Amino acid sequence: MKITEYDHHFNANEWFVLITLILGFSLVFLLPRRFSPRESILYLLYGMFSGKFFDHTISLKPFDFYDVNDASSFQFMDFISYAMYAPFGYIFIYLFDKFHIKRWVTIPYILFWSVIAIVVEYFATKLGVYHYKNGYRLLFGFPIYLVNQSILIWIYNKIKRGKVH
Amino acid sequence: MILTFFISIAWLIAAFFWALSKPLTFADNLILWFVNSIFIVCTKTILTLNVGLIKVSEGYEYALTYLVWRSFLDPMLLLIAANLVTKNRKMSWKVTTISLTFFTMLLLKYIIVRVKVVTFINFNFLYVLIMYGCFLLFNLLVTHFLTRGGSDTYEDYRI
Repeated sequence: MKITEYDHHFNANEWFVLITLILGFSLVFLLPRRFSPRESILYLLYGMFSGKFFDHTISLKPFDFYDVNDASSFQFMDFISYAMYAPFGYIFIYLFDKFHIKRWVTIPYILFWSVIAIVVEYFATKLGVYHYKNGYRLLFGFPIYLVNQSILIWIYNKIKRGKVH
Repeated sequence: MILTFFISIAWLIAAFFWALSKPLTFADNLILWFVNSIFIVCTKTILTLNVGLIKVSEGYEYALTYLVWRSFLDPMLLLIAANLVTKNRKMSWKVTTISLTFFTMLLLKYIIVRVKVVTFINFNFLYVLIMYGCFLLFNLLVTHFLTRGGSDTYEDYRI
């Protein structure tokens, strides 16, 4: 399979991933605890899983809508970028829980976070983390973020209901 | 046709998991699913994309079959194995469960190769045995750590 290479240096895209990772996890550890360790791991893993899921489905043939980081092959920095998604999932559900967001308020909450995700993806793309191909555009990710975050809220509610019972 | 077959198998395995009485909690099952999924997908991506030992057919039907098999079937089989192994303390039960899971995963892999969804290039079923052995071992290790910890309470961490 032909590998496309975008650059060979440790530069903006790598720094973006590392800085986001460090800032994200620093925030996760500094925030007062709201969840059990098991739940915290679950919410962090969800962020990693959903990032990996899309990076290994729609970014590969036959879809091949984008490449991540320096080359179209799977690199160590790509794996680190999955870890970069983890704090987003955690902080999303942390604030959801902290502000007791329910019912109708959930809708603008998810919309707000999807906009945040698009803005972060925009900067990430500008810095070379993502390389769009085959007609893919930034806003195509918006419904994906909507669904992703909805699933995470469903998981959170299911766990919460399980504890109540 | 092969996609139809694999989606039907996926449905069957999902239905089996749904009907199974699960000793692991919802959270534990999800953690296992995520961890197994990440491990399996990273391993298979390295084998296909980086080192080129396995080639995935590029037709839409084959590619979607591959996705269903890699992203759903393998992690789901490992999840079922984790729940069944935890369900019963008897060693004979655990060994039977692990053997059946191993056999099922190998059978699906054989079918995938036979219908040319994937093609081996400098790869063979001995490596597949080792790879699936590693997946199973990893799955059992994570299950062990999850069940060893016991249930943690939400209330202890509530602010």
